[in-house]
Amino acid sequence: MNFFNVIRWLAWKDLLSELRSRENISSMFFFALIVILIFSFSFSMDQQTAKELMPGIMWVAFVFTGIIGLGKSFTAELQNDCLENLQMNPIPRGAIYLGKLASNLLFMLIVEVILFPLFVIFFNLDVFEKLPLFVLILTTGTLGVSAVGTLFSAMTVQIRAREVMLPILLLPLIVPVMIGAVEATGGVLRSEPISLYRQWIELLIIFDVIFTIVSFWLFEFILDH
Amino acid sequence: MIRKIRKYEGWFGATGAVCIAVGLYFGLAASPPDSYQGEVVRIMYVHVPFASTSMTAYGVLTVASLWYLWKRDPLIDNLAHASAGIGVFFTSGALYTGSIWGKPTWNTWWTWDARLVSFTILLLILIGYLMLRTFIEDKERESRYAAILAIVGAVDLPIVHFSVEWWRTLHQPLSISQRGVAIAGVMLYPLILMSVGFYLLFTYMVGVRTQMLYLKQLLEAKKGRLLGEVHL
Amino acid sequence: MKGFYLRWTGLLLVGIWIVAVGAQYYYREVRPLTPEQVAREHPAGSVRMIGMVEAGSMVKEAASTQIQLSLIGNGQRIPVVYEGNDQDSLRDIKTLVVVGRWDNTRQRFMAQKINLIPNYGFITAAYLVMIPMALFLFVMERRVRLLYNEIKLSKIYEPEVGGL
Repeated sequence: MNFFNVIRWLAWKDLLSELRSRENISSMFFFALIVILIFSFSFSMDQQTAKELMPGIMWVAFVFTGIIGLGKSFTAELQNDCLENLQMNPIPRGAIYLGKLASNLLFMLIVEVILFPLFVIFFNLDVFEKLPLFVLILTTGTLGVSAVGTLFSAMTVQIRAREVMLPILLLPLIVPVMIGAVEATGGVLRSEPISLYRQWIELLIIFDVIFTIVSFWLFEFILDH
Repeated sequence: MIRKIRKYEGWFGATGAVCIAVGLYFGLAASPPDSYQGEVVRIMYVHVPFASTSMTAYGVLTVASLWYLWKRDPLIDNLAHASAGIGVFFTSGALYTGSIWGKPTWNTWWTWDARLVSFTILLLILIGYLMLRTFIEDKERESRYAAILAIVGAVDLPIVHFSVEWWRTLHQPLSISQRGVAIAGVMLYPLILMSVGFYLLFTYMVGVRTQMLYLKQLLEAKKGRLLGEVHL
Repeated sequence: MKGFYLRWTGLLLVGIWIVAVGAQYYYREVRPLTPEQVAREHPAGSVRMIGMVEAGSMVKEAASTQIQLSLIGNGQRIPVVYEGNDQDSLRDIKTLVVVGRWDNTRQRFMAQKINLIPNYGFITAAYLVMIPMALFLFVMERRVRLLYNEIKLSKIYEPEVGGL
């Protein structure tokens, strides 16, 4: 199989099994919903503070749900010994990484797209004229989380205490993504001129590029004998 | 290799101890207090060496991890592991002394300064690294995964530093002076002595810890092999 | 093993000695003295005095650079005459250290320099980090010795034969 076929095949396989079971996306979605509700209760917000806190709450919810999704991304492979098979086969390792990254990114984006209207309703936002910018920030931020997250989820799936280890390893490393995404989202919401928050979107893109390349390269060493 | 470490480590330890002792004398007794910071400047003589050695510890960890992924030498992996263990210690020391220095100087134990945040992230990555290693049974896989984590962390740390710096200049306009204070000659002696001493001590400690991890592994392997022979 | 414990005992002794010298130095430097004692013990040498500038006691003489003030502390009130620059840190109800000598004939303190308060507590706390460091190193070295012994005893130590 050639490189791009592997990517497409892996992502398609994940999507199909997800469409059949729907357990991944639904659990991510409800978890995010609960996180948002908990945050709203614990901060007793009025209209103004809600708008200030909203980017942070949104990204915390997204990252936490992302971790839930990432944690599950390789478990199916482990259960049916598919990981062994993948390791045995002479498939390019990088293609496995990119396929998994694509499916993880897709799942997270689906959940975010479902959640985003809820945020708009809960926090009374007017976002319609700036939708393209939001899509850009959501995509770059989510790609940053899943680029590192896919690598670590492949790593932690084969060890003890994987549910604990994934967030412990992942969260400190994605601090730049959190800062960049929250700042950029806040900037868009406050209707600031784009020059004020362009650097954050650039930071997100730089992070994405660097960590996709680094993880792509390092993934070879994970499925190694 | 391990014999060489055993043979030469003593020199590093001894000269390190001497340097630190002389540095302590200069730092605590012979050097004058700073005109701006007062006596508190003496904390710098222990804080700066801690900070620079902890960065060196991460550097050693990164190089050793890359080297391990390339050559797969178990001893190099022991070196990386040892460096991370010592690194946790030195990074905590840097944060602790920095916090104590910050209280009288900035009138706060903690501020979201780029350096402080990057050091905290550094500490978290190192602790995560050590935790990851304890959770993997297979020795070879443990070394491989740990090396991957160390390299990802090494790429991440500069980005963390710059993003926090941007973020801070945005949110809190610098109300407190940065640390870049010009250093007078009299204060340079204790600083250099202590730094050299800490580097030597770090080398010594890494040497000792590498030996410890290597011997542990050797003992386990040999015992395992003996047991295997008995069972057969 | 014996040499190892001896070495660490030596280090411990050196550490205790450093702490003792430091404490002695501190107490020789910092203790309450009456002006008479100062005049008797340090007739010419300069001493440092810590105290709070009494509110409203500062008098600037227009003609010269001299400033008169009084420092309070320990239930005492000492008149001080300061001459020199660096007057930024001279403010009412601020605790500071003046360096100078006691003028016994005119019953006042002639200050030449003004320092900030020394924060010995902070410095001591920072340097205390050396203790866990030494402990850590001690435990580690001890473990290495024990491991070498164990390997020697079980006669399975084959150094450098193909690594592991």
